[in-house]
Amino acid sequence: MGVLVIGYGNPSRGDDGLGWHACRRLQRLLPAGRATITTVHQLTPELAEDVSRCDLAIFIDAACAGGSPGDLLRHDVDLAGATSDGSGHHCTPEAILAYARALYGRAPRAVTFCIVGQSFDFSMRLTRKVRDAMEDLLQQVVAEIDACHAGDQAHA
Amino acid sequence: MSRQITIDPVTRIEGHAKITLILGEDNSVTDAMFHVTQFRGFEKFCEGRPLSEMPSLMARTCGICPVSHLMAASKACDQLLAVRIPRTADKLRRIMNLAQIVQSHALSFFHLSSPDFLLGMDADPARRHIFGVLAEHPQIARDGIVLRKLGQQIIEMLGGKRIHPAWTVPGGVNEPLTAEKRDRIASMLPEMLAIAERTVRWFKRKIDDFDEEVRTFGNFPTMYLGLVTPDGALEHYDGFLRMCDANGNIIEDMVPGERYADLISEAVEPFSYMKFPYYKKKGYPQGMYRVGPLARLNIVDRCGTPLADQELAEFRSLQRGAVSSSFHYHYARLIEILYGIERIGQLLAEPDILDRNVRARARANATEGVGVTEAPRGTIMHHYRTDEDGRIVWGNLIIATGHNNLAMNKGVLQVAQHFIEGPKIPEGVLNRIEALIRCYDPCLSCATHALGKMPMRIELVDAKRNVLDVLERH
Repeated sequence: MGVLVIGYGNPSRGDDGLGWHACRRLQRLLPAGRATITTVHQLTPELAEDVSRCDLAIFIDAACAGGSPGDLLRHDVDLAGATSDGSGHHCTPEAILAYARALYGRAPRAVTFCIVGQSFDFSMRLTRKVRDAMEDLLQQVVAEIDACHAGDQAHA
Repeated sequence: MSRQITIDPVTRIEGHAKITLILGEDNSVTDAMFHVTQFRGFEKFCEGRPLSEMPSLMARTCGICPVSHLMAASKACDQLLAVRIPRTADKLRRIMNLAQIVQSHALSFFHLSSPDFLLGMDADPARRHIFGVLAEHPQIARDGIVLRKLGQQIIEMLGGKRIHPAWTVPGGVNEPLTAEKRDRIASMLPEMLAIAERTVRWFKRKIDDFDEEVRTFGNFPTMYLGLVTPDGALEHYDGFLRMCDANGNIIEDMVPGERYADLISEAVEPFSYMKFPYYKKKGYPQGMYRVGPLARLNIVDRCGTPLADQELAEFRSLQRGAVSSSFHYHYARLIEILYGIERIGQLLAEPDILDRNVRARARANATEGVGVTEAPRGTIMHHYRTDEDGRIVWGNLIIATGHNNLAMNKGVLQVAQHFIEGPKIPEGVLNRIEALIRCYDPCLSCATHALGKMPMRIELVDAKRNVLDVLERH
């Protein structure tokens, strides 16, 4: 139980590595035990079991559309949006939640944070716009985690 | 007027490809081509790099089977160092390689192919995928996920991460196994074995439902190539090359991996970036052979573990001589999952498995090295030449999917000729053509050493190669 943060993307492809950079920062920002933080190149069905066990899943990814470079996008993950890409290798957050519910009987609340990327060329670094926007993203993720824990205490 | 059909992209496989079918005047299929449409050229990238970087560099060839490239590259570099790696390092590499085979086979069988077995080749494509399986057969979907996850966890425990682990290095591995990790891996094996056993039982009952596919999915005589142990048993990491003919007769045996070029050569066709390896003595294209699970089970005398050997006996009863239908790649894959789990258990029980001497250190002592190993999809060969400082000056990679290129092309033609009647192609036929390719579980990223995923396109063209119709899936 608790909060699970999954940062995903390719850290060798510029802004696509946002999830990895953000998770590294969160490891330093958050007190121990506040959240389980993991990074993957892409979402795969095997994540469903871990997701099914948490109270809140937070997905962090770069976006290649949906706004201008540096725009921060947040949306609640809707199970109804679950689809398969046909390859079986890559899943959406919606699909991971659908797997979690179907296989393990439980899908937690989940939120996705994305920043629209500027460059996905070969690089281990984020572009300036994405790096700057990551500060807002981190604040919002921490607030999301705090709210989850506050809710737990209220229910205790 | 002749016509041409193009399937583009091919789905539920790794990489980019399309298929072209040529129709004659009477709308019968007269030719088929499986085009691989991506290119990256890893052999060029590695020129000038020090040999110590090769395992990590080559692992980047693929995000699906990086461990296979790690193993082949490390073995080639062992030769460049001119060292014999410590026995424990050899065993640890084997464990990681088998874990990779188990998880990759699980991906192929459960995620990519089980929708066809469970929901039917003609099922609505909108639900003929892993979510459809999830809805109707949750236990099988769960088994697939668990088996893959546990296989990946073994890789991660050994290598530190599940994708591109840097643990396998020239001369051995860079960290010994701890007792705690050994025990954790061992504790996973019973669950993995239970899943593998019930899946084999279920699939054997299911095979009869696919009699037509068994008869027509790449069912023709070819030769088969793979590695065997010195006493002829199943081998995935080292050993010797063996080749048998369509009747199961051994035609090449105990050929050291370094001498792979004595057996095979590569042809090039203008319609594909993937080369066409062939058996030299038979010439091109008569020298068609297959690799991978089907080939491995056709060439061996035995597997070497109890449950896999029981299944091998049943597998062999499918046909006198070599088992020739590519549909049986699936069954062979499941037998190899059984074998992999059993063999990991055997290796973990070896008394020296926790030995701390796991790396031989040396500078470059040779200027040519060849690493041959078995990837999930078949035999993989890495061949490097260096200058005297150990920098790569030339590289050649022959990858599992490439070996099967001739057979995949012929298989597509066989399926198309059997199932296509008239100018209209029903969706179920399109899926059967894709399913034939999925039998080989091709990894086109590896085969072209290229980056990407694999959608599918089918083109219909006339005799003058004018495109008349296109079926496309992304």
